[in-house]
Amino acid sequence: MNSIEVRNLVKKYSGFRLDVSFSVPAGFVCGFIGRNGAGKTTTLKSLLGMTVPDSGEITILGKPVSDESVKADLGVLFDQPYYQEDWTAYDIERVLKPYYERWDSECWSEFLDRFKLNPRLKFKDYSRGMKMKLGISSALAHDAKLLLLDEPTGGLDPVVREEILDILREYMLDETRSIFFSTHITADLEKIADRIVFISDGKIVFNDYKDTLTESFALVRGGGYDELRSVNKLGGLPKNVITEKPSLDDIVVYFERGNVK
Amino acid sequence: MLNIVVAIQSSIPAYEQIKEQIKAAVMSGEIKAGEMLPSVRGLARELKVSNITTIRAYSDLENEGIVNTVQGRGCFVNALPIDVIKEQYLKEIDTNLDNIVKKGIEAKIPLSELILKLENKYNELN
Repeated sequence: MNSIEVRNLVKKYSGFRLDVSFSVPAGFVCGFIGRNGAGKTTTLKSLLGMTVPDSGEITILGKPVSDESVKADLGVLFDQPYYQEDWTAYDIERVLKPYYERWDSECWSEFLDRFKLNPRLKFKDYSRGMKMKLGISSALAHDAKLLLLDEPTGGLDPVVREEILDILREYMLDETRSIFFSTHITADLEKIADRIVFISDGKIVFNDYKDTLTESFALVRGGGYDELRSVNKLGGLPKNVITEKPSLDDIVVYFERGNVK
Repeated sequence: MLNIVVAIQSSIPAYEQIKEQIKAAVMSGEIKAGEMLPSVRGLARELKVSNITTIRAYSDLENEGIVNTVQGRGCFVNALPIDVIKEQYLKEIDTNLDNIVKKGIEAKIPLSELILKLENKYNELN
């Protein structure tokens, strides 16, 4: 089963055209990468029905995105949670609970305890890291099957980032769950992602297991060379050239520069 | 409890490291035939690697005949895993010996000296 299926999703803006098809198998953590303006946010918003595409079909957890029952299975975090500034954790639960049939109050308060989130503090007084933890806690408290996250670790210090990754790892202990998250922090992808969807200029360049991506290319440098090559095109290179395994950052950079053979 | 450590900066892929350490644990008797390995997802979380890494390590071990995954129950060490691993190790030893002996012949080192070197190394590491 696929957690996400996108078929011929097209959205045109002046000077930009998003045209993507991809699917993400359930049970995995999938990173969504590409430079700013490549179409990540438009794609994510389309997945949530927040943007109406010009054409295309989107299925989430086997249901069309327009199906209202999809929402109960989704945990969404965009940049930071959309809570009212003066809500406390108590207010957040009071507001969210009626929307989610599977809301687990015990689980919610356990998370508040564990992350040392003072339930009497107002949302605006939480640090960015705490806001993210609060947002993730709410997704976990309603037993979401798919987490859609936009830059979940952006702007956070390494300690909090690692804590967030730990929560996500714990979430993934259940193999019926999936995570799809956009990020620029490739170090986090190296640590947690099983799969990578790479978007460039409105098109999907790559959608496969992370290791397949890094193993199918080699970085070729020296002797006038500075490019990424498919590993089956490495024959016949001069001796003074070095070839090495690229990082995810290398792959994004060389693809965007067009230095790929 | 099985003790596995993954070196993140290593040039050896994480799944390979996990695989080799599980094999070593079987060889040393730390895990025995019929015993259950930790769950793929539990192990991934503990080692802080992606799920696909442990899935790949376990499926390689399964292909090599060392473990057996029972759907919905877990991953178990096969009967006689030591024989399987020993055979793999012997093959590796043969390949390495090829290199050693070839180098020895090229450098005209007498066999007796090679044997002595082997003996010394064996005593040093054992």
